[in-house]
Amino acid sequence: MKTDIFIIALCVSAIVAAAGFPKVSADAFGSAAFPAAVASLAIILCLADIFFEIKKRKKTPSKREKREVRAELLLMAAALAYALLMPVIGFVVSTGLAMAAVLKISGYDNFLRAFAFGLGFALCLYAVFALLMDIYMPCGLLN
Amino acid sequence: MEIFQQIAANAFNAPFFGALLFGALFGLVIGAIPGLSATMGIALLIPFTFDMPFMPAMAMLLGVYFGAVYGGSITAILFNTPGTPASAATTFDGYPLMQKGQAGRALSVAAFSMLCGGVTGSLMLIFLAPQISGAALKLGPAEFFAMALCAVGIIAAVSDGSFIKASVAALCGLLLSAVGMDGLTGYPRYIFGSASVMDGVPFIPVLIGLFAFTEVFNPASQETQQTSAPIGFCALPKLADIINTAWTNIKSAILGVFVGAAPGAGADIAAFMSYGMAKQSAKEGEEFGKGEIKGVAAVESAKTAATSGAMIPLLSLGIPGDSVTAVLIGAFILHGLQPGPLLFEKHPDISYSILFAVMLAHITVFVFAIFISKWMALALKMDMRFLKAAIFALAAVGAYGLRGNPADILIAVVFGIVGVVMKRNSYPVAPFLLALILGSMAEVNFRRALILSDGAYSFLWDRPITLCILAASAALIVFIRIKAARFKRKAAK
Repeated sequence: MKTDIFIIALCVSAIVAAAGFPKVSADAFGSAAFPAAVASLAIILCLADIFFEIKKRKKTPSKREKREVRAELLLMAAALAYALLMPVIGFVVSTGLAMAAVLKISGYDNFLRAFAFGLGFALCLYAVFALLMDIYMPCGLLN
Repeated sequence: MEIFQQIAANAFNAPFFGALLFGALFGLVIGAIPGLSATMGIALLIPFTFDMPFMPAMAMLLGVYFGAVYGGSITAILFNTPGTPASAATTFDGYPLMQKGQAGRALSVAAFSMLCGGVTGSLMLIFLAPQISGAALKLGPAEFFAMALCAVGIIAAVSDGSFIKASVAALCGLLLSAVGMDGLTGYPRYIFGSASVMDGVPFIPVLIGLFAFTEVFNPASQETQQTSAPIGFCALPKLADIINTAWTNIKSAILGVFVGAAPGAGADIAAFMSYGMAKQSAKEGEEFGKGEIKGVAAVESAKTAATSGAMIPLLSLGIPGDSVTAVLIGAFILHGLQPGPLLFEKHPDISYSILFAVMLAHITVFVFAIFISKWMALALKMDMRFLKAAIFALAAVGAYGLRGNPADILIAVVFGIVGVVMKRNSYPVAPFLLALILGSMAEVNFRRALILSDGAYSFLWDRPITLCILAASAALIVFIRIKAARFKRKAAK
């Protein structure tokens, strides 16, 4: 139900933002109509979903283990941190660290070996993409 | 007889076969890496063909095209990470088969179905090209809108669980497709000052996020895979599987050619549509999504046939059917050849050599697929925690590599989190994904049709093909949902 409410909020914001889109005389439908129509339909269906969920009085989903939830949140945080820091630290170092973090969170205890694996893998990717395919990869700290 | 001699002279030589083998291998690798598409692979190799003769150059690019389309399925089956959009549908049954310890079976059937789709598609390309091109040319914006709507509706209907939730997911995908410049007026919508999404939400990072990062974030995934049964690899599919999937392969290949021939509708739509149809028509319908081999066959056959179908408008009309053929047309022009109605008339030797190369490229990819799958399947024997870390790095570099934009990694990670939330709340990912792909096609064609009919909505029922597509898809959706409800009632009893 929380997700439905979140989607409704998102759709209302989309409709409000669409109200500001300009109209062109040749295109009677306009830039705003499609997203507004889609968002309105999504709101109606979300309300229907909420109604059915209340009616069904669904069983609460089984509680997940704390350890699992923690690992999932940590993995998400590590990925977000990687996405934000990669341009600054550089591809090779950040990917090596991120891979070591993923291994550590997944239960692999030897951090040094994990980092060595990550660094090696990142260097291979760097060789393929930057050297072979000529795609720019940020060097960051190694610059 | 003379034409056969010319084809033999063009195609039966070492540079041709060398280029074809390299292209197919390169394509398989490119396709297997999430985020690297056939389009990118061809675009990367075009500069290398500058100094090559035309036929070896074409053989190499066709090898990349068909190799990449299949390559995406290897990772889709083994790691639930589709390398290409079309392979997203392969995960539905391919990955559950892998979890059951039947990765080898899934891979070998996928390769065989790919060959069936490829050969059927190539034969249809050779014999039916003029007729199919004529039919595709008659389709207007109204039909394209109807086709997009039909594909999204059907995939929402065939999704497991609540139809309302699937429809909400599809609508969210459609809403997301509105981000970026409006296809008709050029007005930037929902970009909030970010140039990264000016051309729309980049599809590849979203795909990588929803499939690869969601898998990385799943703390249970390494345990599930570590305890899975042995791979059970076999190089060639078993006779029983070949017989079992024969009719599915033929049906899906024919559907794939027609879908692929329609400009704008490529292998991804063919794959999803074919999966829906196979699920609907099979006796084992309720087994689809849980590891049904026909599900894998339907997707592989249709998407490979669609690649041959996409070559029809490219060769006979000079109109690219999808983004890959749009890049291919550039390669043609680069080598001084203009595809179009005059191609077969002016250069029959070259045109038929290309058709021959299409057929040969599918066979080459099949041979490689049989060998490569073996080694890819062996990867499952490694520590899954390392594999997870490797998927993380590949997903990140795949998201980044397409545009060289670090923001794309962030987009992929965010959609990875969205994927986790969707999974947890029983929102299916497939309708969301397909709606995102087809959203702009649906909107732009709807508005074009509206402009052409002077603002009257009558184009929806005035044009017989549009009406047929809409009516048939509505009937199919109702039928699918009734059947699903009956199955649910039966299961509850």
